[in-house]
Amino acid sequence: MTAEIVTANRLIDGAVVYLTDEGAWSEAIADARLSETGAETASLLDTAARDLADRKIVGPYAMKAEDSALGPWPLSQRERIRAAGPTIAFGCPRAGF
Amino acid sequence: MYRYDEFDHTLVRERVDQFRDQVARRVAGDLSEDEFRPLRLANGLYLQLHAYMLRVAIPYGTLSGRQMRKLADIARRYDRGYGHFTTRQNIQFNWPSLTDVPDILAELATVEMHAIQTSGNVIRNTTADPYAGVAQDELEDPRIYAELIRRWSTFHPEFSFLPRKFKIAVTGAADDRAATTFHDIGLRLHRNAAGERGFEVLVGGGQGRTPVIAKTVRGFLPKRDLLSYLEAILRVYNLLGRRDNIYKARIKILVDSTGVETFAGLVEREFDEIRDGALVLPPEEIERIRACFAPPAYDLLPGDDAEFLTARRADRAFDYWCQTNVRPHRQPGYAIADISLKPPGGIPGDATAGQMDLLADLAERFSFDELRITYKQNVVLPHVRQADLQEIWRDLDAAGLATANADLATDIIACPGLDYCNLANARSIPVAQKIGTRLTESGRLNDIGRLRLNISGCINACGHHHAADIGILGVDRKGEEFYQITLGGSPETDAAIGEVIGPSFSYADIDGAVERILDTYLSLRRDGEAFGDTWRRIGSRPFKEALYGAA
Repeated sequence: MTAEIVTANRLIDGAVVYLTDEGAWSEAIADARLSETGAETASLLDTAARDLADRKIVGPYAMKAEDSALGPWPLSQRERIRAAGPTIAFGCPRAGF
Repeated sequence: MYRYDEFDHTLVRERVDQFRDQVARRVAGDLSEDEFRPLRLANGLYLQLHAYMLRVAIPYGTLSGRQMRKLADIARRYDRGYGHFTTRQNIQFNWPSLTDVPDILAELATVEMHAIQTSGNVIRNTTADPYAGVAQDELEDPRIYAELIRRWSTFHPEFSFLPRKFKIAVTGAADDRAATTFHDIGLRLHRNAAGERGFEVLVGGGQGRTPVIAKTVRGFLPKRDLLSYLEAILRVYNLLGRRDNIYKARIKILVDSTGVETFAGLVEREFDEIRDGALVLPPEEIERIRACFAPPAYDLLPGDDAEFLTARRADRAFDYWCQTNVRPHRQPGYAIADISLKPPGGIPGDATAGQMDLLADLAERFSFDELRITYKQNVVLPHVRQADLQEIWRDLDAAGLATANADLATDIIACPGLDYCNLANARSIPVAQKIGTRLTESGRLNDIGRLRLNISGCINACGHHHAADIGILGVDRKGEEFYQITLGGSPETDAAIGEVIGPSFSYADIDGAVERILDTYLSLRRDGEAFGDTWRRIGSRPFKEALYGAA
């Protein structure tokens, strides 16, 4: 199967987070646990369901990813933008404004 | 400007307290996400791609310097120093924390603002012509009626669970600057044969996956009947609109399935039952609201300001900005100034806190403390003396706000797209940036003239691509961003839905494709011919050939 990682948004501030090897949630996708089997993904989603009930996160789901030199990296454009933030610089380029 | 009365204040304050309690209960675990979600949406709070997003209503797009300053303050203290003005005259903050939102709403309440009914299946912020009260072609200020609609529709118990969201726009002018034909209900003030003023009522317009131009259900509706008639329309919709399929739930689908005559008949029947009821608008009530929108105390000026004309002759850059961004005002010696939030390479509709503070300052100093937000995602100073325009322009220029492109091809409407939005299939903002930069560098903007180029990142069409001369729709093709082009749309009195021109283009190729369309237009147009006129005259073939080669 294609490898997967489990992601969600943190309840308090909405930040994008990833489920790690230790079963914690990290803002860095590099920390994400890359699941190689359906059973492993199911177990990660069980952890996520528990943390949803514990009000740590909202909207958990598994998404397809691959292993890269920098760690797990999503396959879809949507998830890449979600992982790295908007692809545009925001704010006005002129100093002071 | 309209000021809150004690009912408005109480209602907004109570709502803030209620939401504070709901957030506390969510965090404490007394509310599940499923229970909480509709509550947060009822307060304009979405969960987007990267974070929560708070959408704040700007009723009929009018706000004071104090209100704009508060938006800047919120951007600075609770967000990342900027906000995004939307195509429905609202503002969105992209990064608030859930636990800060009750405080943000409390701050907004101090300046008579809120986020009520900016989401959910309810009647949303009623929009209006951004030149309301100052346009030369206006019969009457549409905000009087937008405000009456706001009062009627806020927390309307019967319409709190509509089949789908519901959007109303009002114009009082000959030129349609409010895109009334693309709303669930569009209202156009006009005079009937007897010289009385009333509304043409259009129903069932919209964009999204099924773009439809609204149809007239009533050619003339007396003002006294406005709210009763709207209530009748909403009742018919609430009863017969589909709730089984989200894609078929908007009123446009209902009107299409019944046929406009049958639909109008159902509305008239309901209207007959309630026309003399509690919703009748007596002239005194209309006058009371009208007083809130009374023109400011203009100086009586003889006409065009001589120094202003001299300054324009002396300064080419200022003169060019006046040509593109300054509109005639109904009061002699005054002007309407469009402030573009579309600098080349910038993000359409975004303003930093510093820019918002400057806009507030300019409004207070030069525009009777009033600003407008347009559905094209720009800002307007509605009442400025011609004599002050050069100073205003210099201040705007220093803040990166003097882009001279109002209504030109780089005045691009773009939704947040895949950079922010959970629903998007493709990015919109970088495409707008690419095209904006390319067209600006080509030096042909002025030659191209007035042109609408709009971009949506998904079929929901928040970027109004259906209503553009050149519309761009982002689509997902096997995980890759592609862009489909539609041509010939218009949101104005010649309303039209753009036609898909052919297969879509990759992210890398989309700006080149736009340039080829413009080349074709420039080479084939007749003198002074607008894009839509050329399109209607020559049809799609020359554009297809330019894009895809001869068949």
